[in-house]
Amino acid sequence: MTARLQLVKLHKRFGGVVATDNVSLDFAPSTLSAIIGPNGAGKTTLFNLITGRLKPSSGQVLLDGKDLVGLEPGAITRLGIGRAFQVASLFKTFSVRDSLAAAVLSRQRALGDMVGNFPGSMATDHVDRILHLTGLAHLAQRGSTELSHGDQKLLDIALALALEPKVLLLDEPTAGMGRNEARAMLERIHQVSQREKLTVIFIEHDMELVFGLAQSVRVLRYGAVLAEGTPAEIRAHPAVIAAYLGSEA
Amino acid sequence: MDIEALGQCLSSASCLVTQGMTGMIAGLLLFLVASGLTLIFGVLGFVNFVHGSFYMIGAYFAYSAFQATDSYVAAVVAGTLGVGLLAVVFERFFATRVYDKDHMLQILLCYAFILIFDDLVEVIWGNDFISMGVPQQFVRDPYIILGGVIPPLYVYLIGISLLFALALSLLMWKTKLGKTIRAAAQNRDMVSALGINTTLLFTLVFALGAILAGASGALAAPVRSLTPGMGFDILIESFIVTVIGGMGSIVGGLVASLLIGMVRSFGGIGFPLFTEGLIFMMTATVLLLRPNGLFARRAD
Amino acid sequence: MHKASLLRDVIVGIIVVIAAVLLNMAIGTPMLRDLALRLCSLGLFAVSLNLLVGYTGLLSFGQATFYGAGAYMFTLLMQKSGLGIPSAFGLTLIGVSLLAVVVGTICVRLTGVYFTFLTLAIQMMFYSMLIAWSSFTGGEQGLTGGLPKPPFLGIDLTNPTHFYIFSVSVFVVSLVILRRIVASPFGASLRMIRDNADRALFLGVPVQRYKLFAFVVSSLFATVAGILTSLFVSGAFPNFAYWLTSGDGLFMIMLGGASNFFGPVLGAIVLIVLDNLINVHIKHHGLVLGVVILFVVLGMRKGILDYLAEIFASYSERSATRRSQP
Repeated sequence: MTARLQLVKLHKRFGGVVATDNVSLDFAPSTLSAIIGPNGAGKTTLFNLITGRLKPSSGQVLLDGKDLVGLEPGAITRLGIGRAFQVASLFKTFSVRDSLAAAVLSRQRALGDMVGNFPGSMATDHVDRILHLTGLAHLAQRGSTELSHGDQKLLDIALALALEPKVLLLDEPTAGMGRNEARAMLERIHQVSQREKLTVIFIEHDMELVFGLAQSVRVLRYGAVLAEGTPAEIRAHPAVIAAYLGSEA
Repeated sequence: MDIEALGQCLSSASCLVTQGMTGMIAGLLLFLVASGLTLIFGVLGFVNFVHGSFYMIGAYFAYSAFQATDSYVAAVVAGTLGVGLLAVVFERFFATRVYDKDHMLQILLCYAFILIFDDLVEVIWGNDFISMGVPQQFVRDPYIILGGVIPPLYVYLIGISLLFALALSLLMWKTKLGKTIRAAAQNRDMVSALGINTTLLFTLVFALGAILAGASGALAAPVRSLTPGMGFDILIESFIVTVIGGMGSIVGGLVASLLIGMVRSFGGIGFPLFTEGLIFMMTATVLLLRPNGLFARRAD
Repeated sequence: MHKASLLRDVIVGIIVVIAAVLLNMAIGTPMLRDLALRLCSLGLFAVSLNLLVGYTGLLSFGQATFYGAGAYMFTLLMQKSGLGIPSAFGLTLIGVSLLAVVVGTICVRLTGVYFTFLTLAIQMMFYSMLIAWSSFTGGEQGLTGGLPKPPFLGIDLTNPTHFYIFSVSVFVVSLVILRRIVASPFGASLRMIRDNADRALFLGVPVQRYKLFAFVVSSLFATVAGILTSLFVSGAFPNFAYWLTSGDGLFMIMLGGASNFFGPVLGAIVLIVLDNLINVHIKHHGLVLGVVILFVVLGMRKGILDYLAEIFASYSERSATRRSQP
């Protein structure tokens, strides 16, 4: 089966520091993968390389065979890479509905329209769909900043979903949440990814949550891939256990 | 536009010396002001749009002190300390209220004070151009180097400016206070977490920055004509220095200041009415080629 | 659906023009007309600036460049070329827009205080050029010698009533256009850029290009304001392009409210009233203006209309909660 997303010998150095060390990974379509690793292992850097925020020193990022390296972040987004952020990155003066409408209109390349009305009726169907998908429908009229922490993170994900991505990168989706809230979030992510047939890659610190949800786990350390496999395999992997004993249980 | 005159000057040693000296003084005085601005922006994150007014007030205080005492020393001290005091009041009562706010609010606050200071100066000293005049001790035969005429005051000004610059560097690099200030410029929160009284530190740094501007104004008073609103040009130029010199780079600031001084001085011969334009074109060119300034150490 | 909003705005616009005409018929004093005319150019200048400041988050301190350029180019065309007013108007719009494209392209590469500063520096250079090039621009005196106003399409701008209606109409039409732009998806993208340019980029918004568009549109209407002013004073003067004029623009926005489309117009009214009061009673314009800005910046922290909008919003929320309680 061809991979949806392929990282081929991805390498990034900043001066003398190697942030990403020859990383080669495949991500199959419609799968949920987790990327874990101690702090500073280069997980967020990897996301930045995939989304075009950072340019790799060498290597390729292939989406359905097409190399994304060198493209502008906007173009990469259009090709199908969506991203949610560790700290929800929202439009503070927009309501939930308007934020999503803006994203959808951007997808439809209609944001340059100087004559129509915003949000108007153009994007309503798509917006409604995403609101229901992410469980935010009852908050549609609220301002982005009025939402609870967890709902803001949901909105952050919803914004990425609005662009109809093929691959969804989630940077610590449960950060700052209690156990129950985190579980609910991951359940929702699971539902969404199944319904939308997405390839979801998420960075996570909480091992319990990872093992309950991910189909495959990749462990990063010092910017390089330490191990990859199913959650069960990783749990028993001696190198992984050794790496984690030093930092966190 | 008078390219011929410019050409003539460039090929004459005496003109080169005279204009070169003028340019150097303008550059050094500007360097003092710009250093103050960079200090305030770097450590406090505050866009001190009132900086030009501090320069202006320093000059006016110096003028009045000189009128009263006939002593150049008193004039410089009055300018420096007077501005320092004013700056402390401004910082404690006004600047603090907008420290962590939008830059727009900061700029508008300062804009309000530019208007207020300009009008107050006009009320107190009047609208006309006034001149402090060269102090008695400098009324001597000028030095002649390579045929160029150099008034003794100029030599003195260069000396004093360099002294100020040296004192500043020593303060920043060789004293504990200086280390603290530099640390605060890198990371404000960390410094406060270390138990250092950031409120006091900020007031100190602000006053220091303002003093540099005030001192420069006082020093420049004998060779400039004073008028309300005179701070604006130097404000723009110190921003230019900060921007093209590269935020946080002292050498960059010095190079940029001298460059501007020279452009003013020689450019004033070739393009007498368009010197601002020249300076601007130089700024734009540098910014387009190196958006982080000539010697940028950190991108902002 | 958007046709409905355009229709509504046009109807409101027509009503405003008619109201202005009626007002003039009722109180036809030169002073009323003067106030109205100043409001038209200052108000338009402030609203156009707010497209950049309030809606896109770009604090430009240099829009007076285009205001001044518009006044100068229009005056020069009318004085020297023998063109009619519509042609001169159109040519000025095109000419200054080209300038705006060049200036904008240079400036939008920078952000934050660097952007502000560069716009200011460019403006000072333009001002310096106006003063220096005296053979062309009249130097410090400006373009005196009057402004020919040949009639066109049955409109005679030497007639005060015609000029009044003309200015009010230009003002209203400009405002309607700006309002449409602000309410459009493009307007939304500007607000996205203001709120979170990074995320906007990630969502596929061509941030740099849109910033440039906003810059040019804003400058276009600043130009119109400049043309209105030059018609009003029959000339063009260097202080049009002085940085204090840009400062006035920011003052109007700050005072009236940056988050409301009409805020800057209210700010313009306050500025004009203050100006008149000050010139009559106190000589020191800067002092009063400065103190008022201080009051707004430190006390209110936002403009009048923003303040009122907040009060209104919390009031309606409270009454809604009251209503929903048994």
